[in-house]
Amino acid sequence: MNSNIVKWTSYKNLAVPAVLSLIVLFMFDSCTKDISIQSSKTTEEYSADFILSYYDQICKTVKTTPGFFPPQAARAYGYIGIAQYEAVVNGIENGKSLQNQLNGFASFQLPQPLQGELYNWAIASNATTARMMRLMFDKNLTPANRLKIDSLESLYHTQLSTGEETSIISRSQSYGQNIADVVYNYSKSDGGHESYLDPFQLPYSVPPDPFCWVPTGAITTPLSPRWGNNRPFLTSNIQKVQPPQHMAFSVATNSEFYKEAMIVYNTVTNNTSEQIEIAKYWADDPFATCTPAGHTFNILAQILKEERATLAKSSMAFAKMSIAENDAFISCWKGKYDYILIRPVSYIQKYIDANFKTVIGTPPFPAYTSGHSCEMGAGSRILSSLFTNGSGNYQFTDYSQLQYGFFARSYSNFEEMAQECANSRLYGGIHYPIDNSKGLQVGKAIGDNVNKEIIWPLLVR
Amino acid sequence: MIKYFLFTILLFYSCTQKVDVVKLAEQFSALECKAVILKDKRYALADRLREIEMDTIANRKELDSLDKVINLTKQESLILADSIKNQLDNLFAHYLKDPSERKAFNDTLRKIIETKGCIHH
Repeated sequence: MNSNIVKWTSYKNLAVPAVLSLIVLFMFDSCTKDISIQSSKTTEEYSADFILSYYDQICKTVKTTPGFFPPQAARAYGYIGIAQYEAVVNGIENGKSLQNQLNGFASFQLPQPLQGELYNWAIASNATTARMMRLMFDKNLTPANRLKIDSLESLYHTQLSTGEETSIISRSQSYGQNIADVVYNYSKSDGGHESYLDPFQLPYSVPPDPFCWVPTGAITTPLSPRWGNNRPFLTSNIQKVQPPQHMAFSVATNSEFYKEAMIVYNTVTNNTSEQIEIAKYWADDPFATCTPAGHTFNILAQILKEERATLAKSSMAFAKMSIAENDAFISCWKGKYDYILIRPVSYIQKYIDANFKTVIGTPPFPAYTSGHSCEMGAGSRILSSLFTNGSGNYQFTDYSQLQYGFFARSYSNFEEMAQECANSRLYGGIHYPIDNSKGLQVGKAIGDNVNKEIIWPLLVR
Repeated sequence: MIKYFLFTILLFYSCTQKVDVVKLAEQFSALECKAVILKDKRYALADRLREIEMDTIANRKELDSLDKVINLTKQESLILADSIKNQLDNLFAHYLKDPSERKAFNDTLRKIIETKGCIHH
């Protein structure tokens, strides 16, 4: 008995520190959780922190580089996204290159990893992303942005190379750089190459018909009239999802067209303060934001960070969004210049009320369909595929606009968010309801195509 | 043994300490107040630009001076956006880790900004 007590006492003396040690170890781990980088790991084993930093920098670069209007910005995000996916796809289980899946990509020879050699996919991705950023903004890239990209590349190259063999580092870096060069060469033939140097694609004449777009401000020619001729990543995103003919133009007060204009007029006249806030929130406002596509990428980056997504999941997510956003703008712009529809403000001021004012400025291009609705419709489908079982149900709060003086907005479903974004264009007075409903429809179809027509790896964390 | 125990308690405390959302929101509110005011300024400038830009000849002088103000406001907005983004990333990484804390922070921030009079309806 006494001996048992002694034994228990001595065990007790050992047990307390042992349990405390375990607690300390557990807590230390939970406080400093990180994914360490080693060679020959799959892409799922790398942290995505560095790639998320690059997406912050892309947003800043779009904001401060001349010539990057919404279509040009979506294109830059597009090619950077597919390049960084190609840099890591061979490290993703069941990952399949986009080379034979994207329109016109097959004729470009992507480098292949050497058989039997080890790669650090994070180093490759770092090299690809930095190089692609420099190339896509190239001639208008400010020295400050170039320096920032160079610094990020250098910082992450050093961090990711820690403890790695020299041969693996150089092989991975060179592989990543070569991927960027090939994807950039692929981009040159899509019709949008260096479009930031001439975003208005002059000369262009708008037909003089009464239903046609007329200037709504000092800019007298509409933006990127030939953007719809650009090569999409998926042909079906142009061929299968164009919007139907809009209602016939008419100034008769009982016509469908007049009624649509009256909805805009009445909405703007009776907007609540919340509707005005929503209009400005989604406007991705004058002078200071990284365009609607950038807003969608910011939302994606925030959710990936919250979900602690790996490099594999993040790369796939950005690639999906890149294809969807690029094609949404091409498809939408094709519709805009097929129909060249007059903006509500021009119609209302001419036929309903000469003193009508919109809540936000009307951008300089035709109405049908809404670019925001197209891009967010596409984005919502990509987000649903990434973070839900397809239902779109997901509780989240968008904090990306706090930096611009807006309070965060919360949603419980990605479709709900897309609908609010589309409605914002009506509240703002710059789109007819049909621009928004058909724009959403087109965008969602594009998102669905990207999810279904491309073979994406399954069960990526 | 006692040192070990105290260290554990301290670590436990630092990992589980309840976040003072109100304090964080108050600290953050100075920056956000500036951002709200700048946002309103940007929209006001854009509105004025819309009013006068249709007649560029008659309004040349005002357009030129407006351009200067717009450029300055844009620069100020971009610098502020960077600061806010960095601070927010820091808050989210180290203090507001839970979605409910972040939501409470946003709601509290809104109340503080409204009380401070940064929002003009």
